[in-house]
Amino acid sequence: MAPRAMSLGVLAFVTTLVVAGASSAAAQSATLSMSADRTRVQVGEIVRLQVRMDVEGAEASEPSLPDLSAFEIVSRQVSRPMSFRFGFGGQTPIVQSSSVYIFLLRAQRAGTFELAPARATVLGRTFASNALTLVIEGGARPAPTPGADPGSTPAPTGGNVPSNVPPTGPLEGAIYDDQAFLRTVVDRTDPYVGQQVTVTTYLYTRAGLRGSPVITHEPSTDGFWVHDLLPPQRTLEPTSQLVGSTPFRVYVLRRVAAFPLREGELTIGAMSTQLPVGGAFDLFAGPQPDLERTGVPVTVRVRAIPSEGRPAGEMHTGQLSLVASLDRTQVPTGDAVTLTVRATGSGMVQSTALALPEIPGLRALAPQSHDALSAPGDVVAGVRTFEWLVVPEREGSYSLPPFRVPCFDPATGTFSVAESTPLTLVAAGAAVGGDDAQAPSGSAAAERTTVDPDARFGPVRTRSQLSRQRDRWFTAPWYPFALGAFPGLWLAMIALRRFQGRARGAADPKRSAGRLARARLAVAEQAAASGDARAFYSALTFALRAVVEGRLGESIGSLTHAQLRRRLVERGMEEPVAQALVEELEGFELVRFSASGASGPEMQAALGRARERLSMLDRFVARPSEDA
Amino acid sequence: MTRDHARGRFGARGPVLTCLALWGVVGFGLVLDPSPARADTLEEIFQTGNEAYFAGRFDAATRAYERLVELGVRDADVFYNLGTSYARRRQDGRAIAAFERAVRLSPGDGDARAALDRCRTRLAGQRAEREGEVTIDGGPPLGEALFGGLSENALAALALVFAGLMFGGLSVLPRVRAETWRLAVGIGVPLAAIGLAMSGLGVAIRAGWFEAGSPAVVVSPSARLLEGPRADAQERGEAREGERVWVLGREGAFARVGLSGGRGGWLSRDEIVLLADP
Repeated sequence: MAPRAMSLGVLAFVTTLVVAGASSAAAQSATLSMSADRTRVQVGEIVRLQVRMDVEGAEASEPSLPDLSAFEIVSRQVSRPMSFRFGFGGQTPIVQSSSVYIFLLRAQRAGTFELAPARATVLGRTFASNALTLVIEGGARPAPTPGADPGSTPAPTGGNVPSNVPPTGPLEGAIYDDQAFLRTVVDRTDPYVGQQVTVTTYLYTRAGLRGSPVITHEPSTDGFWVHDLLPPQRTLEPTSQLVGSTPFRVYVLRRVAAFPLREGELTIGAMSTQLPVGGAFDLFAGPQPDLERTGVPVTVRVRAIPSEGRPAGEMHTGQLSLVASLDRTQVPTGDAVTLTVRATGSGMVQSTALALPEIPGLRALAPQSHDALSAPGDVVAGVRTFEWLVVPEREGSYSLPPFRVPCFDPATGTFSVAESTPLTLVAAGAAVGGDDAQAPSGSAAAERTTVDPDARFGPVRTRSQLSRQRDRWFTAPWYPFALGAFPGLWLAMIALRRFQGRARGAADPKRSAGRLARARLAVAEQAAASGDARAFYSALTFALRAVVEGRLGESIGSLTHAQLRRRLVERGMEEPVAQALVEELEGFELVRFSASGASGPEMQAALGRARERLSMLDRFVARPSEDA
Repeated sequence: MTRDHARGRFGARGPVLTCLALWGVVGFGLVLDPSPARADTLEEIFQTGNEAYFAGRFDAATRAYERLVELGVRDADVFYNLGTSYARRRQDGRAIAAFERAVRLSPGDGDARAALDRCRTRLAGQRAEREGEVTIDGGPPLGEALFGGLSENALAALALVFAGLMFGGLSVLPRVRAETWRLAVGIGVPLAAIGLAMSGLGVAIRAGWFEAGSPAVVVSPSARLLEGPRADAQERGEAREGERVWVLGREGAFARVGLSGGRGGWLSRDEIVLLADP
């Protein structure tokens, strides 16, 4: 046993060595590739360039990238999606590692640019990627940053970057710290009043986080209306960014849409946070203390909406449309109708205010409003719905004028007026309660101006089939037949099956003969009981002969006993059995007229023997007749 | 001899004339057929009621819809309009009766149910103001609680379907050889039997086979419950407006009714409205 265990241990050791040798042999293998999402772009457009390096057996090093001077590097992102290691401690052989470099490049000048292969050195060997040709076509103006207005100055490091990627370039909105720091970035620094400013707070950290950061001090947002853009429950996903030459993990801690409510300099305060840094497996060094970090405040210069060409009224910054509707346009006088106005657009839709003008004869209760906001693509938009309960107090036609809201579009710097369509409400007849209402006459006038919200009956239906008879199926003459058809069919099917079974039985000579024999035995029993020996033996003979004929499938009436015996043997019956059967038949015929056979015991014995013969015949299967 | 005489008189034109005479009779009958004229009349009455309603003349609207009911119209929309008109006149008892009839004809009519609830709530509110407190019987009837918005016809159709499934399953069961199918049919047949029983029960409940009498609604604001079918009979109590009663018998201008809680007595027939045609 011990030698066997030892040999197994040696085998495992050798296997480990072989695997280690194989992984060592597989080292120094690397693959670099370079690709772009498109190879033909206009000046000012952004192209996404990706350099991927897969290294086996070694750590992936920093590759040397081609000359990108023809482009403005909008962002740079590094991710290492794969890194498999075996072993423990510092001497861990690396099986495979991958690095992906993603650049967002903005084309600055026209021309054809040959991007040289990216190169990397792994354990002294140099590997190169493929080359890439990008064609930049001129003529087009540089693409503006979406969402920016012509007069607006985008944030220095902002622009058209993915929202989860921190901006590159000068590190503004932050105080650098080589371990961790907070950075606050705004997408524009000189918005108009009411224009959305997207404020993002990033956490830069070199060490990993062993838990979620805790915000100990929320940033102040005085002078802003703020809408959260991130869901309350989410997962912190880091991206990588180089600050100088130091790699940091970057988390998005907070992103809000801030709408400045007044012009002038407004400041978004600094956020403070507590960071639980370190890994979950700090076995030797022990858990690291939490870090406390505070960001820096960011100030924006809010511009007033231009006065030139500005329409009168409370201005909405952004886009807006108004839709007005009445739930009924023709009502009895005194009946309440609902006037609904939906304001749909971008920006601070929830601050939209509408007023229903005074209309003589039309009384409006205080409006109710509710908002539904969302932020697709981090742009706040939504619907504000106003509902008035309107009561026409006098008969007549009421014209509801259109609702108007002046709008300023910061993207184009132009003014417009959102306007709903005018509506007409027709009130007819006397006030609610009718011309013969049950209310006392003294209170009739008061009742006309009182709306009972529970009394909103109607309107009546203007279409009806005016059917005169109630069509009740279960009282229709056909219904009992239809309902009874199913059990009837089922019973008919059962009856048919039984009939078919009987018909089959009648067609089968064996079964027929069996039934006949049983009937004859019953007759014989009756004859025995009455002492009629002649009838008794005659019935027994008939029963046996019937069964024999059924089994043979032929008539035996013309055969003598000797012929019958031979015939039975020919058809497969054993000689003694056939002999016994024939002798029994002969005995029945002989005893039928003798006095000894008339005794009761003798007849009972004969009946028992006959049953035995019949039972024997039931087991007999005749061979096919040679004649047939 | 008469036949010969006639044949001699009209000769070969006899059959032709007979046919013409028959066609004439048929054509005359078609001209005199009252159906199209009646349909126009019903439609006109209906439109008259609607116009009166929109003009705020709810009494005229009510009369028009009641006229339709008198003419035999049994349509849920007409009963809904009738109930609405009564409700606008604040005759909640009659409105409840009309809405009840609309719901009985069309159990899935959500508007009629909502209007019925509003009427009952308003009546209860009025009683609460008058009496200080009121108890509302908010529980739905048995048929409604069990079978929701299924109409009589829907339940009858379900009974047909379940009967077909049950007896179809029984028919095929002896012929099914595969064990899985035998199991499925073996489970399906009892389920179909349960469905058949339930839908049959629903039809019976909806048809009022378990009700003691004809359902009706008290429409008078103060209906006196009497000991006998006479106006001078001793008063036994009061039936409230909108209350459901069951008519157990009739005698003259009075109806013997049963009420919830085991109460009973005689009410004037003018004070109730039957929910089903007698």
